[in-house]
Amino acid sequence: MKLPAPVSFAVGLVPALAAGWLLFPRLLYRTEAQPLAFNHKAHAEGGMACTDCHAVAENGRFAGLPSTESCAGCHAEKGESKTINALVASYVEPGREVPWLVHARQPDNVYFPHAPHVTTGKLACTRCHGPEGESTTPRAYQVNRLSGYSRDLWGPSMTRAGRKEWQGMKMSDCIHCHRAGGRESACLDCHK
Amino acid sequence: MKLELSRRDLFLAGGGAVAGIALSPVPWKLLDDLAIWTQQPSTPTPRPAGPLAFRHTSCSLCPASCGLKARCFGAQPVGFSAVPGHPASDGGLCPLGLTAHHLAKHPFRATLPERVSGGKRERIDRAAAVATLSAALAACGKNPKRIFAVVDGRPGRSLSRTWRALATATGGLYVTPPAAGASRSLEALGKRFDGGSLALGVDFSKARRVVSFGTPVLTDAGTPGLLARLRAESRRRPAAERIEVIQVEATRSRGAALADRFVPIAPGTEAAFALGLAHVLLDEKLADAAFLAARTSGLDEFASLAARFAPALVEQKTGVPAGVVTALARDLAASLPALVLGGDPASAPLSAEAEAAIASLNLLLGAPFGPLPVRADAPREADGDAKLASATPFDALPDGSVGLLLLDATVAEGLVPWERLKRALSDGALVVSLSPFRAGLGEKATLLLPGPAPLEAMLELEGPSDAPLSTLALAPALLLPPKDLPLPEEIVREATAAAGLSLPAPSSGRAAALLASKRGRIYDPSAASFEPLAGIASVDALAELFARGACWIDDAAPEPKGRFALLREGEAPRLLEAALGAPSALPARLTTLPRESVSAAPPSLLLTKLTRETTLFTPPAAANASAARA
Repeated sequence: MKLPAPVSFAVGLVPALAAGWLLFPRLLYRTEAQPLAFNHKAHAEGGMACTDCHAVAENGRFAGLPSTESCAGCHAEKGESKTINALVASYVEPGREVPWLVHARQPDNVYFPHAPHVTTGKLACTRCHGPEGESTTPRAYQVNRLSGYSRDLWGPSMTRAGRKEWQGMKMSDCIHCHRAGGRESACLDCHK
Repeated sequence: MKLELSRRDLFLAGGGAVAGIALSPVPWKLLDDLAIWTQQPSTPTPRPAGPLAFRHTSCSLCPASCGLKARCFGAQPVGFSAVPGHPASDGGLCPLGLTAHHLAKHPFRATLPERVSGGKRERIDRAAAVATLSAALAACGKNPKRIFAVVDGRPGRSLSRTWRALATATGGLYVTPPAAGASRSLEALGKRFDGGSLALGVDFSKARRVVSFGTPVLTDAGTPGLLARLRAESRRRPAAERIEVIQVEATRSRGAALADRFVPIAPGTEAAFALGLAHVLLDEKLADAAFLAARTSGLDEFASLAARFAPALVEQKTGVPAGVVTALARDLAASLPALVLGGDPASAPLSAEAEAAIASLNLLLGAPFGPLPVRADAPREADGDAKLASATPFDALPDGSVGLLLLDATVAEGLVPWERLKRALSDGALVVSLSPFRAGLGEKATLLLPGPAPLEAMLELEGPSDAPLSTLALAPALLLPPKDLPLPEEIVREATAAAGLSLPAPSSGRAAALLASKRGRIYDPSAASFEPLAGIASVDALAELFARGACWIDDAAPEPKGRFALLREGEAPRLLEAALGAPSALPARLTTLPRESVSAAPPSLLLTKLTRETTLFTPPAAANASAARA
């Protein structure tokens, strides 16, 4: 029996589509665990604001991730939970910084200043970082095997369709937001 | 039932697979990620090494000497930004300066002496360069048709004293090019002061209207990055407080395209147009009466001259509609402080009569001591100056007289056109350029002695002569020069000694002369603060500040007593003839070559792209639209 032409074509097409849409993303990204199971929600419910740990000065300058010293301000001793025990044993007592895997890390040729976005643009943290403060465990850090950066730069969907405004940090996303706000800029604003 | 697979089926399945891959994320995602992968440390792309650090210096590419904040990885600068509050530029920086660190690797960069012999360019060693130059030096002075001339693009530096001493030793000429930008207009105005000629500068921050008759204030003259920034900032303010630039020119130059308003005018009719504006100001009593009464003389004579230039007549002469003349004059009067600048000595020089009319217009607007403040030169060592050759204006260089022409690295072809230089050369003349680039005048030279590229050596940088206050920086180097780069000044000294001539030791007393003056303040960019110079304890402490990228700025000069003459003696008939007659003859040194910059260095290869894409030189329409949206 001879195969009909559409069937022969589909024999190649379907596995290729499956490989492209299902296998390729799995091969492209590998998942790495964060060093600690940090609970943002517990901290937020305790009355803490984003800026209590991720300091943003009045002039908008961003101090980045909290240091181990600032964690130790509340968690200097073991005993409350496994995560806190791990924090104290592995980082507070030896005086090491926690090697967080930062979803928002941008390539070296990109210069992102928080100051104009926070101070002048009056953007909330969630506008770009999403509802991170509601998470009970850190999201899986998926690193792109080729580029070496987080999947968050592209967004969760391979098609980038239907993504939320905080999902994706490609240059086109920056341009889209700037254009919408009437703040079209030059190359040199972000690429020094 | 047996399944029969043919070659056709395999092709169809293969086609299906290709189509499937094409319809999956694989192609575009791989393309995107590979682009980012090329920037990874593991890829062969050269990457700067070392920790991130910020260093300060000043840009040497043009006389503006803007402050630079360099973002460095280790010793390698990878990007520049402007320095807000810097005395010379106050947050302004042009695209040329943003790419200064590219120039050391420019394809036209030369790192060894080169000689043109028999029409062929060849690299030579240091000894050959010294021998060639010393032979030419020794031959100078023996024949009046083969004198030595050195052209210094930035007179007043410590190195300038060496060039003056060399001219003295050889019996040659120390030549200086015309000052760029608004200097000629300011000089024309300063000479009208009865208390002695006044040195004036331009303070754009105090002006709301800037009328330029050809001075490229937005692209080349003065500190263009600063005016661009001031203008952009002013657009965020109410319309009445905005700075507007009005370019009055015969051609739609790049500056005219960037200006808020462009008034096209018939060539050579600038004097008539300026007098037409003066007519409206006086006729409608819009001139600054208080300033005219207190600080000027000859108002009646000037008023009777201006009375002849009704807008209708000006329209006939200049081609500018009478309504435009009237509206512009009224706008200037309603938007004080305003200032008017004449032509650019390099690309669009104006006649002396046109500059005189423009000077009078500035007086009607009360510009002196406001947007045109009095300034003094920066202190410099003066020991033995009387024995050194004085400056010869470039225009006075006799034709066919120069047997050895030495072009300092600061000489820009825009100010010293090669066609004019060629006329001054005698047959078989040796032209020596100290440019680090095989471009511009460096390409024309028959002996190229390349020196350090921009940012490769500490440089003594004075601000432009039309800046509101004098500034001085001993700008530290940010880059290492190539190994074994023979320094041109050393070659010249060796050649001078070989020719049996003597030169004084290099001067290094500029910082000491500055400190002794006790004038002005010094800006420390790392602390973003000013300190009075009188508070600096020693020359070493001052040198240390300069090594960190500091910049000195003079104190504001006191307002002198005296009056400006609206018309100088015998000027009225000449002005009348020039304005009413045929378009006035332009100075003979007019160059038809396009001039984009007063820099002696070629632009970075990336500059075209940057200029096109950057908002530093935002055309007004786009900027206004952006401001409206904001």
